[in-house]
Amino acid sequence: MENFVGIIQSSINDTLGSWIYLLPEISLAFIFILMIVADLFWAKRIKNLVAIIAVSGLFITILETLDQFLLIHSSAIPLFGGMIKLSVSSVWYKLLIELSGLLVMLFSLRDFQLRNTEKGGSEYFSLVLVVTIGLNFMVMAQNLLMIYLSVEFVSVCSYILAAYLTGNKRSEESGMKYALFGAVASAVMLYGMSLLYGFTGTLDITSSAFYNGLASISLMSASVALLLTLAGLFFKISAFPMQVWVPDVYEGAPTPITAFLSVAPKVAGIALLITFITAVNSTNTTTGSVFLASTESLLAVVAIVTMTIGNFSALWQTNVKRLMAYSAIGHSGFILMGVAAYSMTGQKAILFFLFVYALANIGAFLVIGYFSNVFHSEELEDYKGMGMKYPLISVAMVIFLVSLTGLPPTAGFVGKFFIFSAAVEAYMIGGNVLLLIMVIFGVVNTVVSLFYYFKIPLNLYLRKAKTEISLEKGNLLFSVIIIFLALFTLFLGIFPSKLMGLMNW
Amino acid sequence: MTLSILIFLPILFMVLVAVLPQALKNTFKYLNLAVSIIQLIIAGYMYLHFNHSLPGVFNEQSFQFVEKHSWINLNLGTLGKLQIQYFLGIDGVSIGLLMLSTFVMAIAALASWEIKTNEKGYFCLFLLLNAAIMGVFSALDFFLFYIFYELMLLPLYFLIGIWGGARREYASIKFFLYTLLGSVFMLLVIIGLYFSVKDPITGAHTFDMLSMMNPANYVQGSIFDIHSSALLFGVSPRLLAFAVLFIAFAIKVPIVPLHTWLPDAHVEAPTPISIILAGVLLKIGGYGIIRICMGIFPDGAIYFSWVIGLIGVVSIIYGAMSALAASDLKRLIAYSSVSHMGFVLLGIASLTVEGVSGAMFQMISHGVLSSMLFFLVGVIYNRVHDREIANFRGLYLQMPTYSVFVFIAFFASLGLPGFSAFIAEAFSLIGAFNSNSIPRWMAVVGAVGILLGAAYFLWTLQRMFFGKARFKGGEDWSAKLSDVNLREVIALSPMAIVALLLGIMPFLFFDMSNSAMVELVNATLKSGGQHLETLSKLLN
Repeated sequence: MENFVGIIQSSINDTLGSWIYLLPEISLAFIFILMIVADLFWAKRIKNLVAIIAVSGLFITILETLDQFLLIHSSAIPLFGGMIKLSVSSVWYKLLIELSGLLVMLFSLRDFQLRNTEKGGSEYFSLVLVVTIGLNFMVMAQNLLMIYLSVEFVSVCSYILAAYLTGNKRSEESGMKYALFGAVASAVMLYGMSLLYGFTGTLDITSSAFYNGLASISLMSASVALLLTLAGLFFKISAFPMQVWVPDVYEGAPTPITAFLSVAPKVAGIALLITFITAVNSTNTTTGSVFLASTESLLAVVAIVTMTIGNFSALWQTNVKRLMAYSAIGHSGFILMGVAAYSMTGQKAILFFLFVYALANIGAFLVIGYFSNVFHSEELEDYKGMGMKYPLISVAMVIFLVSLTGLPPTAGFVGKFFIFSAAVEAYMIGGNVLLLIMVIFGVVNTVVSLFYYFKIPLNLYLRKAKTEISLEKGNLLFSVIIIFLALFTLFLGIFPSKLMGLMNW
Repeated sequence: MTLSILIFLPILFMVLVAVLPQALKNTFKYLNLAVSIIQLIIAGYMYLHFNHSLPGVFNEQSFQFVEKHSWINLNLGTLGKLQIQYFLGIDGVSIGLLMLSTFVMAIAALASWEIKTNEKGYFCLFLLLNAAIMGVFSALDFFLFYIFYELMLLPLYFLIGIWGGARREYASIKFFLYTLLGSVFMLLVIIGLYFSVKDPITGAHTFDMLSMMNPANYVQGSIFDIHSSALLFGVSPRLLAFAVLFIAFAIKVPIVPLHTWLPDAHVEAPTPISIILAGVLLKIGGYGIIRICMGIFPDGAIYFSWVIGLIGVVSIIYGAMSALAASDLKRLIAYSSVSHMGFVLLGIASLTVEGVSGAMFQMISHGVLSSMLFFLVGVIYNRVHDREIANFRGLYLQMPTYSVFVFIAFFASLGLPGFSAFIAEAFSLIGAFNSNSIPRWMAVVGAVGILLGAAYFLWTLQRMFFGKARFKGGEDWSAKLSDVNLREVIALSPMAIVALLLGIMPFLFFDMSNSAMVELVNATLKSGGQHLETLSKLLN
């Protein structure tokens, strides 16, 4: 009995001691409540009040997240009895998610469609904030229960966001499709998790019981449980075979949300995938994990198929948002290459790649939003000749696309270079030829992606505009952010060590 | 600092052009020309201060105008540190091409007078291209080289795509895709090399090309280690890497059958860009093969010499045949480029000092002559917007001064003694005859290529310039086809003079490059032979 009291005491102490590490998430929750209250009482009197609270709140959260680098130094800290874990890498992922959240909120402030929806924007901003909380937990989750909760948290909010433009058929369809596919994916994942729990008797994926339990049963049963669980994660990062929802949802959702969906959930999903893969392969025995070779091969094959499907399907697209959706699938494949390489170099490469991908992708969507505000179209056809009318924005767009293709002197090249290096390194250590084949597919896909990405500059610059109507000027806020992102993309391409050097853990 | 100034001066002016108001658009071409003239002066300065006795090629100490700064240093987990340097320098291999580039860029700047739309965009891209070209020839760090190498593609895509002819969309993306396909695979070899090579001083993995050339710097058991018996897809990784790099550069040269981007790109590009493409871009392929393929994988250079020679010969003959069949003057010249660049490959494949020197000289000579030819085509195209050979007759009577320049350019190109092409082709063929690595018949077939060259050039002269003046456009064309103006004479004369000067005094170039060529060929034969022996022992 006395023993029992001791356990209770220590777990209470642990829980109380853990709160301090959750400062960013707690602030986000408070800001969310503040936004609801403010929306109820003062929204009529002060224009854009909710948006201002959201943006400034997120900004404060970013500062708090930065502060966490000092808080945890080098070693990772398990919190709440191992439910979540705060490590340097997870702080980086959180930072990336919050930064993209901030950019997307600024983007939404001036988006034509969102401003003109009958519902008004306040719920919208609160939802983006809530998704950020969920994503933060996804990055830190260490326990099957926590993984499931955070993934669902994110999913439910994302469904609403995708369907936010009520009255717009495309947006409603998009939200519906997202919800249906998402529900199936999470059901499958939950089933996989229940199997995992049944096999191992633990929910904590980092405990040695988890690995030992899985390793002791037949490989077949363990694989089924693992594959089902991975399916849920693949849905989040839009990897094959869970990528079918992407084009329709991306095309139909409001452009800022598409930008957000293409970056933030993917970042969190990749972080979670890395946690999961690491847990499955972490063993104290000298022989190494029994799953290592098969996870490596599985991820390599998924990476190959994902990027090939994404890039080749993109070739035939005529709608810019849809094209970017397929490109996002292709990029998932690229990131998975880094996961398949599974090494220290690989993890840093992925983080860097995600940063530059986020910069360029949000930038490209901002340009799409900018143009859509001006001439209300997202068809490639209507981009004809716009390069001459909006030179600065179009040059920025070219920079983003070059970065997404992965050509120097942009950051995308360095990111791709690091990913390839990680894969080649893994091949040299482990000797799995599949990794080398994956790299070859990677470079061929780079060439394919050039072809469709450059359809946009082709229309912007090489073709003449259909009509000579004078168009209004675009939004100044957008222009400033776009140019800033473009310059940053170039800067990181020339001095990658300015960011990469900070990523030490 | 000299090389950095050469590279970053255009960037500086690019920013200047970008921020200047649209109202000053007439000054852009002068600014652009000013950049080229300053670069020419710098090149002249380098020529005067270039020490001919230092061989360069493998040894950092004997490179000149060296600049070496640490650029990207990262600690990358398991396999150690990553070290990328801002490392520039020139030797006998690169100085000639660097001077050629400044010269061709100046000519192209003069030819840019024809650009009448979107001047700001055009000159920004032109200057960016200029910087990238200078960078490619001076970079000694593979990563840096790759960045400049890829950086050339973007401006070229837009320069062809926006200011090009009717099929410009097709031509520009085709050019981009072809080159990129070669270079992405090159990137894989770069990564493999980086994991295999360690800087002997710092112990970090490095992209330094000169470290890569020294077998002692290779990590034991790494992919490209000479003593490693591991196979990649059933072949020796070193030979595979040579083949990949060779194809990447050979697409640029170009070789048959990977040449099809070239006629399209040349025909559709505006005149100044055609000049740059033929005058400089093709040379980057040859330069890459000599500096990188031969330097880093000498074993591959010996192993594949027969294949390279064959590709060279096929390119010579096929290019010449296609030129004979061409009905568009620009297409004819584009195919003649394919044919002439075949001699470069033949010379390289011979692995003799004469042959490789001949290849280098052919690149310089072809750079000057093809620029001149494309400029000349541009002259009539600008006047009547047509360049079908059949639509012109008796141009000599209509444009006498112009015709004299055409005669010079044609006769120089077909290898008339006294002009540079003669010396270059002769040396390549002598090299091929004396070579131990390629059979004699290749030299003979190469010589037949010269004959075919004479045929298409002379036939074109006969069709277009002799006889009574008769044009498809009738009176209208006769009025438009005025003789060359002062600007055109200023651009054409230096090219004619250089072609003649190099033909009479080839030592102007050979003195500069000879020590480098001797070093390169001897070292390639020696270490390449050893590597191949080790390799065959390992595999048996």
